[in-house]
Amino acid sequence: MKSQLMAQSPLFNWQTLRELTPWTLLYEQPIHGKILEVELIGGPKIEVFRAEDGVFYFCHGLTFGGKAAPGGAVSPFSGNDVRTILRCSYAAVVPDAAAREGDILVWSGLDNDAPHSAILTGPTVEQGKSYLSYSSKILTKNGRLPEEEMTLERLIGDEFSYGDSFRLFRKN
Amino acid sequence: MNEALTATSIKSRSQQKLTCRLRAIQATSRYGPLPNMGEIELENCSTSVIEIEYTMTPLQFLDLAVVGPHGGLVSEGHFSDRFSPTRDPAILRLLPGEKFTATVSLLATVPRKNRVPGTHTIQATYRFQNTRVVAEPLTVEFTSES
Repeated sequence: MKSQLMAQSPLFNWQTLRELTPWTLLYEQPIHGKILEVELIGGPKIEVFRAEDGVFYFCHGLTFGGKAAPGGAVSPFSGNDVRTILRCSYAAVVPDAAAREGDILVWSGLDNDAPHSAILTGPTVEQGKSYLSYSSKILTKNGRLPEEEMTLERLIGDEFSYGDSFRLFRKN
Repeated sequence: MNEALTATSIKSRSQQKLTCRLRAIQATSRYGPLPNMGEIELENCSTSVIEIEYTMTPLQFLDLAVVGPHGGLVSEGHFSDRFSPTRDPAILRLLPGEKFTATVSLLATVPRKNRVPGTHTIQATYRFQNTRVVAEPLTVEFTSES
């Protein structure tokens, strides 16, 4: 299942990947690395983060396939870069109940930010409802925490503070 | 994520510029009640503007240390561990008397393996630049494992 999800048609033209500048993610324990630029298959360029170890990635690296980048995992940044990907390569799924495996969830934050994203691996909908049920399965990488499959209930519940402000998208 | 700015009148208090408060709240989602939720509040108690530059969310500077019913620390890691960064920093600008509030999970930093029913004490700390603000400890009774 997970390998199938990662094998979806690529978003990035990896041949255009080039380094821009050293960068540090300001977690309590900082993560050092660099910012790179890469073109989307759809045309625009976005910026991504690659850690020094080439292994670390955060949620958008999982959701958009950057963890499989040649030369080491990369993660698109929250905010403009994620919005560019969504605008160029995704369409909203409405209502939520129409979602299917492989669709993605993107959360909203202050200033139109996208503080979290994840992959829908097991959608379930209760009869008569227009939204995903709590038991739906999600593949998620929460910040610097380990990648894990969990229920939607757990993801929006009392462990991660993301809330239910997510929207669903499907790759074009 | 539920975050908000609220303007209030300027109040004369201590010399501390920023005040941090943590309280338990009844929160709901589209699915119904959410257990173990709280609200963090940052208030600018000074007469000047406070600017907090952040690269994830204003909550990236928050940490919740939780002491469990047996008296030991049951929280692990840091509250910011769950967030993803932006490319460009943003600024939370608090005018004098203005408040920033956000809904948080009171047990966010407590791994599931450490969760047991009973009385928990939660200490919120907000640290940015060279400022460290500590909220009054919040004592909450958790009745079941979650």
